Amino acid sequence: MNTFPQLSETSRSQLAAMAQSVNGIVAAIVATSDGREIASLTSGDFSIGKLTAIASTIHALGKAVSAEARFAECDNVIVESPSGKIIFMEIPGSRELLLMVIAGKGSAFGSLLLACRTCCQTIGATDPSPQPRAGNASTQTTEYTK
Amino acid sequence: MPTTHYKIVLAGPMGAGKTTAIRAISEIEPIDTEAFNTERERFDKVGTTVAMDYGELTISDDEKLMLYGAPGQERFDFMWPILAKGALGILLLINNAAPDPLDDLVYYATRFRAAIAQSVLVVGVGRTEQNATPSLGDHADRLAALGIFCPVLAVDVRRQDDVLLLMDALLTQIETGLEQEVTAA
Repeated sequence: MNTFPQLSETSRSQLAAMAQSVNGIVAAIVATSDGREIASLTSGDFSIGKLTAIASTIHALGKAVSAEARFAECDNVIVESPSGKIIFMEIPGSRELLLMVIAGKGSAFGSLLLACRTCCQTIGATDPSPQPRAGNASTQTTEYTK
Repeated sequence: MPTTHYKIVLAGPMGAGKTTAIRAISEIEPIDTEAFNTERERFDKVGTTVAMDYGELTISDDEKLMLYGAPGQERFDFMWPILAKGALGILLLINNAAPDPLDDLVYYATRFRAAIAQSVLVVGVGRTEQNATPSLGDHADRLAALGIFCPVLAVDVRRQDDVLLLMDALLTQIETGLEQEVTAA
């Protein structure tokens, strides 16, 4: 059952557009906040299911530590490594969605961050429902090569 | 200020009451990481823990419990060994109203086996008043078949006294274990 057909298709096309606009993206996932995949793109051998669950966990921990630090919100969590960067970003709207992007060391951080924000805003702008919806999220995985 | 800290991990399937149990006894506002549950057709609850819960309970002038709740769903199993590392006690909560509570028991006891081997285990079985079977004895028998012998108690995780009783059972086992280690040394 595909509960989010339009969302899944929109997310998949936005992920593809983002991957085309920035060098070095090796995986990108749109997920529900409870760790279920909506759409993904990957050019590597990744376990999308596992990454999706971890994205949900990392983002939740980011929100928890932000709350303890008396920050109003947690927009994104960034992991930096000599091998690259991983960005976890909240998609605006009522559907409680997340974007996770893994980029290799060839990516420019500023461009990557901007592309992630643009992607989130575009997906968020399609939010048709005032409340999060229950049910099965659809999943789509697309292989691509830069 | 407490000088001895006991790390306790609450494990078990989604809906067993781990978050509620921590909330029932924590003396601090618990940290929770609940996300909107998109699987309402499988689990009839609004939120689900996706990282961990955390609470604290001072039990004497120099002893404090640090309570960690593990996410129940299998896709978050990468968090289980992270949270279980260094735990002195595992509290496994089982929902007796679930379709197969004994399967849940065996699954989580097996998945936390390494942590249980390094600590102590107490099992709390919830919703036994409305669901008398399987009995607490059935749960104990299934654990015994795995070579695990531990207290199995009924619990209503909403009741502070019930959860404190489980903690007492854990602490008794932990302290007994520590005494044995001292004696052995």
